[in-house]
Amino acid sequence: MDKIDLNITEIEDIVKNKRYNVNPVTFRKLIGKLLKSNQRKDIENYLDEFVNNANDSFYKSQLAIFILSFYEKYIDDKDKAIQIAKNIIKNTNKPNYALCSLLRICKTFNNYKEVDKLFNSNPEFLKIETFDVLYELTFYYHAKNNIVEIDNIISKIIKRYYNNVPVLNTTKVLALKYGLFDKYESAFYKKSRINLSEKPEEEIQRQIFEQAFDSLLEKTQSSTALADLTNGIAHEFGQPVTNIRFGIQYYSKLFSDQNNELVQKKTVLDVFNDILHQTERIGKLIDRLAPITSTKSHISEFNLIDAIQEAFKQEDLKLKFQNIHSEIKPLNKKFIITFDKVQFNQIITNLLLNSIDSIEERKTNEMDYQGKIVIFVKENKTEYYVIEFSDNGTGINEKDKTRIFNPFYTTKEPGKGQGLGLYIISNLLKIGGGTIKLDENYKNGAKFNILIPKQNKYEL
Amino acid sequence: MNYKILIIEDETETSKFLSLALQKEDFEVECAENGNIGLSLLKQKEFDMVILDLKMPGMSGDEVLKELRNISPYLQVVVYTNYSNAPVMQKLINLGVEGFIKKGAEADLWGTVEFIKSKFQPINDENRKKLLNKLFEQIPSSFENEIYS
Repeated sequence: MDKIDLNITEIEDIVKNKRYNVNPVTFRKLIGKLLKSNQRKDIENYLDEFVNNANDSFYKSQLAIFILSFYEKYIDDKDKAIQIAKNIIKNTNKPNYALCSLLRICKTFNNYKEVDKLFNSNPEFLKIETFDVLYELTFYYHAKNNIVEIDNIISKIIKRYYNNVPVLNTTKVLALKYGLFDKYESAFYKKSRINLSEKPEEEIQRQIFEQAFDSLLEKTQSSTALADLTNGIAHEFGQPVTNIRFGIQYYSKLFSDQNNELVQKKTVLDVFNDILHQTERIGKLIDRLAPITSTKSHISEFNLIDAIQEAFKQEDLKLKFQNIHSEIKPLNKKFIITFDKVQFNQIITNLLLNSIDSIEERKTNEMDYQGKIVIFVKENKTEYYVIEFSDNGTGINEKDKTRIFNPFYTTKEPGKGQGLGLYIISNLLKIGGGTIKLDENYKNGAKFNILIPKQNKYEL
Repeated sequence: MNYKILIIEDETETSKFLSLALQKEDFEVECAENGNIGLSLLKQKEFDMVILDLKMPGMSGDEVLKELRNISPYLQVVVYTNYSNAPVMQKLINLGVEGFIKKGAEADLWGTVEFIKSKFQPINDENRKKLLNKLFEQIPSSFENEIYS
């Protein structure tokens, strides 16, 4: 506690005395420590005050860029981040970072109003030719349905970064996405092979390298998903089989070695129980795998709010036992879908059980903590409903984020989970024409956004 | 002197039987339920061999193996797995894995114990001769002439 208090006093001092010349690295460390202690609201208040009193020269500093990145990442009210980005762009002659940030925020909300205004008053920004900006601009033009400009951008990137392999790889993915791969294929192929050892012409932010890496990774991942599944199944069935064989082999040698006619009844019973337990495990696994491969489905029309409530009722005991507060909104509206009701129940139940587990885990570590699960349903365009499923449990680690939907990937204690829940959910939804995504910006626990079609899209 | 073996395996049922069987053959055995526990044991004590499961929640087997090689580069490691996959095997061999133990339908407790015992037996004269003969058989005759001429 003392350390945190100390950090607060230091930040208070910086804010009150308007020390805009503070070293950005020091400041970053201070904020980082507070962030770890979950005092986000405090940080937000301090930063608001700090930024509101700032003058133009502040926006020229590295510190401003750091604060912007903080707002972009952690503060829910994105208008604040937009304002800071705009101020930085106005005041500095190096607007790249802030411009990218602004484009990213607008991308998340699929509303480029602020960017449009900026480009109207400052058309010169459209002429920036560094990769970070060009990359974000492709999304901007995508939202505007302007494929010609996207084509221009890709051609610009290839000309300028012809010997920068990570950039070219990302661009390759972009070209694939917009059906322009064929047009530039030779460029990717020829140019990405020469001068591999040459230093990149431009100093690109590390972030962009990561993006390139991630997109490549994504491609490899989808092709290895099936291999993962079969490996996982082999392993998961292999465990109980190994245990049964080891148990029998151990005791049969023991008995024959000792020539022991007085076989202890208790030992034999233990062995039998062990084996029964292991076969139950196999049975459970088969039950769990069934929905992925089952081709039969019974589609019916139902109100998904009712179905969600039903799933919650089934786990009522666990919810009450952990004293979890649950909220399903809006209860007074009907959201009718045609979907397999059993599968829908499985989707909700799986998410619910994950949430309960993570709340239970947090509860053992924190006093005065109240578990909470919130479901919010709304309409998305005309064809879909969105179910926002969130809890305030332990949340999902940065390193697990990309892997949670993989089969047999589990972060739970041995014996507590098979790592199939989210894999099954995403498959059931995929089959029915929906999707599930982890909300990476949600910090106080875990939040999943489920997109589910009103009309089921099974191929009947 | 008794050899000391560390089993790193999340399936406690499996490690229980393996350690019982190894103890019966006078090995000293310790079990660790996950990579972190295993690595901290390795930092505290000397072991003669590690038996490592590759698929564990949290730290995976090859992550453990990399860390383990930092602590103790020459320790014998046998991995414990029930799937074979060429690239994975290649990677493991590069990390200095001495042998593989099968799980699943081919799991053989006493065969495994024999295999582990063999890893501790120095090569005897008879086996050395056998190995040399085998090598000579593989050498093409013309090459052989060159050697002996």
